[in-house]
Amino acid sequence: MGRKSIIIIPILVLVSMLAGAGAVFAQAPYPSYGIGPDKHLFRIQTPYMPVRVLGTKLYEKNETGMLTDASGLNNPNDIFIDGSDSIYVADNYNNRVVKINDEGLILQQFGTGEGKQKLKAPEGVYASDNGDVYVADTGNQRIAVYSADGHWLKEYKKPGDVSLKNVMFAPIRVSLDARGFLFVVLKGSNQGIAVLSPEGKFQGFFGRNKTEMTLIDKLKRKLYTQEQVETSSNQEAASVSDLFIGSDHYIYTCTLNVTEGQIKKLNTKGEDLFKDVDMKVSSRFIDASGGLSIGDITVDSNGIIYSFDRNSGLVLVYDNDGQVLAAFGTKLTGNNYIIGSFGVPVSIAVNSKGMIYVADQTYNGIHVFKPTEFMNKVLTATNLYNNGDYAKAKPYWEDLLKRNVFYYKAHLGLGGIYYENEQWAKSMEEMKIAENQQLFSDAYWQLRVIWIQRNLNAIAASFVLLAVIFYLLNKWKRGKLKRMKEEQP
Amino acid sequence: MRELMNQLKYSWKVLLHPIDGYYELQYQGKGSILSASILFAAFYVCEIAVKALTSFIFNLSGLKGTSPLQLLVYTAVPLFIWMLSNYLVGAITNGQGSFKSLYISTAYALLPYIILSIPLALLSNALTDAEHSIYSFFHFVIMAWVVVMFYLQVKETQGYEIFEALKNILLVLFAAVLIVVFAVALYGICLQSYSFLIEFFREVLAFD
Repeated sequence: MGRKSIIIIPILVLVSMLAGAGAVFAQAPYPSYGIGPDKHLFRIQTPYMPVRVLGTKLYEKNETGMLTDASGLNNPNDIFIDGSDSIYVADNYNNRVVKINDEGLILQQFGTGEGKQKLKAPEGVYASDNGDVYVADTGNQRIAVYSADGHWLKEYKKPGDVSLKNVMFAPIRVSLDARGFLFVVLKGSNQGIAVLSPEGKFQGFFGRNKTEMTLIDKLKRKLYTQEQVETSSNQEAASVSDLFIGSDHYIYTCTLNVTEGQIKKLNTKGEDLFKDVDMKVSSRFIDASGGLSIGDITVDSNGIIYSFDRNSGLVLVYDNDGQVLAAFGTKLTGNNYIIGSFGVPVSIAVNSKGMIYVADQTYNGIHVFKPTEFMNKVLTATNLYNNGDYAKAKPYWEDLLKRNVFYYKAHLGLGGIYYENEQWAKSMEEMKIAENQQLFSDAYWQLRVIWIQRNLNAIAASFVLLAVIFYLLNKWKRGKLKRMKEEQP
Repeated sequence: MRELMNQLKYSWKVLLHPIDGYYELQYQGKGSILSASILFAAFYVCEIAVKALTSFIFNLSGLKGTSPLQLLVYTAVPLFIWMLSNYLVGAITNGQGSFKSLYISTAYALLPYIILSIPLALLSNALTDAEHSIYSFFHFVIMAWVVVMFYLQVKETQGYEIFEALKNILLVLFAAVLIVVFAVALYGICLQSYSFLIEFFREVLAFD
């Protein structure tokens, strides 16, 4: 026995090393949370494993196919991942955009040449479906467009529209909708997202944030003179920090330092589908005193929303309805540079395999995370459920509850499935655990209808019986009174 | 025993004719400390029963996150502060009520809740969220009745006029706030002096 174990142990170690970083970590070096019905975070098993910090070193292939070192990222500002999982980085201080693969090999560079194609401190990047690369060339106050092989195609300068007269045209994010219209986030603009036609004509502003009025502001408005109101500060709407146009054609925006509407899901009319959704999370684990400050946003093909909170260093994964599925990560403290401890996170992207990329300016790199089996099950169950495939989603939710009995989203999912299967009592049970009164009530309403239908005869009979009893009682009482009156005189 | 039964039966009179009822409680000895204590105990039991029996639709947390002791404190302390400040304010504004009569009349003021809250809790189990307004209406009726009973309690037991009673209730509430503030301050001082003594002896006697 002794001899065998001597051989087996090194093999086990070797196997676990070959299986990659994910297998070696039992627990990730950062905390992970689920969220309860009361918006409180609680610890769950790791949903995302650390993979690497990408981009601090980059490589190039020279003519002979040899790998050589290239300068790494310097103050990355925005990342974008295209359909083939290539990563585009707006490499701010290097005045370029690089297209890299998952290992840090540079596939293409944009904006490094001279003349019109030269970029100056770009802050945003977007790649369209046909491979054209749109760069928010902040320093040059334009949108620059390149072909997939790095050739300069065209640029969009500030449109000569009268409503843009007092607006500085310094784009920080750009995105294209299905029609090819450009949605441009302008630096420090509180008017909303500028929309340009493919020809570069200004179409108007979109998704403007409302001014947040506190009680004091309202009071001031009542008491101040017109002049005072106009000159007093703190009246401006917060400016949008990022946008993402999903494959579902919704336009997702996020805003820093607001108390509500941190993430918006806007339709083409500009109506917010998350108007009534509370995005907040609260916890004793994290410093939530500053509220939620969403810096960047990305949405996968199933409508799952990925974002991060700058205040607490939490990466947040929301489902299609704006409910938190999982949260992980922390804020960098001291020189404790570990993946998942964020310094200045600026941008988030997700690839087709569900891997999360978070660009961090303190690291001059990109944190890369891989979903665990647990998280993959959560995502699969959520997507199946949203597509109405309840029978297939059910075993996933049940399995998740076996792994974590506190994962209340699973109870909510199961309750919904039971409701669809007309198992009202079971649905009520799950909804009670998930603390959802509305859905509990819906199931109970159905149960009550059935109960009334079944016992209709008995109910009718008891009503008749009650009426008879009341009638007799009344008669008896009257008779008694009559007798008393007769006795009195 | 028979007397106690009569005192409890008298609840109906107080409930339905509170003005006469409180008058007789005060001047004809229709209630006693014992009967009042039984009503307080019934009120406490009702509090627990309502939490346990009300449908989940109107009662998110139920008995979770609370304990019988916590509920006891939450019911007994406000009632005691009410009685105390009522008595103290009455003493300086020519109120007629003794502490005993206030104790008794306060218990009888809780009667609408004691009698109606459990039937409402049972009824709630037949309702869905669509009938939320029905539940809210009955809940409001009970609460409004209790408020009216409290008003009449002060008015009749202390022998006030209509507006005098209103004014005194405001004074009583103000006094109650002061009592709470004072209690918190006293607690703080006690805590401070305790830690001061500990520190003092540690310094002087060098004992750890």
